[in-house]
Amino acid sequence: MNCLEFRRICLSDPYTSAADFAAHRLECHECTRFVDSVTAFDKKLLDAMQVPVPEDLATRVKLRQVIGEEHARRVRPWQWALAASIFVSVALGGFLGLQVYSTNLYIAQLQASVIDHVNNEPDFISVQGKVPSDKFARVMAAFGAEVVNKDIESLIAHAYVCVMDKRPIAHIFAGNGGQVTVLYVTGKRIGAETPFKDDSHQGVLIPAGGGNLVVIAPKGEQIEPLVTKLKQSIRWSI
Amino acid sequence: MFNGKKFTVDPVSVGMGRSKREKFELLLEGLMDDLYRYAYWVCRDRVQAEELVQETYLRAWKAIGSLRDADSAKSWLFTICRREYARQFERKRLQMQDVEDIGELPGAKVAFDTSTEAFVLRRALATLSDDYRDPLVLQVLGGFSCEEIAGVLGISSSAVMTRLFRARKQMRELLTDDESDSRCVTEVRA
Repeated sequence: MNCLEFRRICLSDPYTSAADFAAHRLECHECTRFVDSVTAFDKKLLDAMQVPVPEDLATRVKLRQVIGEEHARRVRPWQWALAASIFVSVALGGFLGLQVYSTNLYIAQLQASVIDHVNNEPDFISVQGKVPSDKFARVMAAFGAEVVNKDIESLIAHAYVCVMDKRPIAHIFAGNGGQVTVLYVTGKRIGAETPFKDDSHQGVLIPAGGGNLVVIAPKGEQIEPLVTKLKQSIRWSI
Repeated sequence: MFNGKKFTVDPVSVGMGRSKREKFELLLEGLMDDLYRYAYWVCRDRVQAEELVQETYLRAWKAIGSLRDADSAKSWLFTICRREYARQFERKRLQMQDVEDIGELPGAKVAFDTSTEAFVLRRALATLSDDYRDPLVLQVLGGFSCEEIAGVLGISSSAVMTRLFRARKQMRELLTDDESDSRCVTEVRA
């Protein structure tokens, strides 16, 4: 390193610990005096830079930090209200969503159970004749229903209580030749009348009393007249 | 480094294992004076420097979790200060104040050098452009290396060295002019 290079570095970084800088400093007295003058100048400059620091500045910094923290922590009433309303909305939305999901799942399960039940009791499909005069009323009474119009009995071929999915149900054969099956299933009441069908059946779920009335028939069978008559003739007390 | 303040904050003590509050207290106790002086020389306004320091510490408090290396605590804090100043400057287009307005503060921590020599040096320093004054203040007052200054200012080390060279050269020229002016005044009076 020559003197020019040394002095250039000295004006940039007189505190460098570079080996060639230190070596030149040791061997060149002029450059040693130069670097000493630069550091002495810096010392004077440092002294001149020592502007007074306000005594209470640290306290103000702390105070501002604490206030900032408290402000961040403090939640205003309207923010609480907003947070609460958002929470309620989300919770309600979630609840309703869950309800809808749960109801849809129940309907699907009920339809599957009913179709399965009908398919597994073929012996009664071809029931002929008419139900004994009070049999239909007694079966329905067992499920909290009252037959208020006896005319419907002319459409009923057979009525009895059986079990589906470990639950007692009212099983009624109606329509022409007992082609239409009416089940009354206790349990979760659905929200609205819901038609359904599969490859060979059609039907409708009707919320009634403490459960649902299910009318199911082979595809192509008219069920609407029976559904209307059932609604008019049975009163639910549950 | 002659100012002996490079590691005013014990690197070990600011390290991991301490609570956020303890780290903050150490940064405040160890570095606030230097930070205030740096802030002053950046903006050359006492009131704004105080505001700058308070805002810097507020931001430091929020981001203290990101401070992993105790050795870099000082440059970390100065970088926050420099950025905050740039943000405020952009926002307010601040009016600079002449350096001659610095005076004794009631209840100030240290005595203020009121000598003519100090006055002349401060005036010369204030005359430098921001580009030259900034690295010089960081080196002389902050005790930072060229690499650290580069980090604070967001420029290359070679650019820092060039600016420091020109800053010292300009200071020398300004002070030589001052000495000539003083001699002229003395000669005229004589």
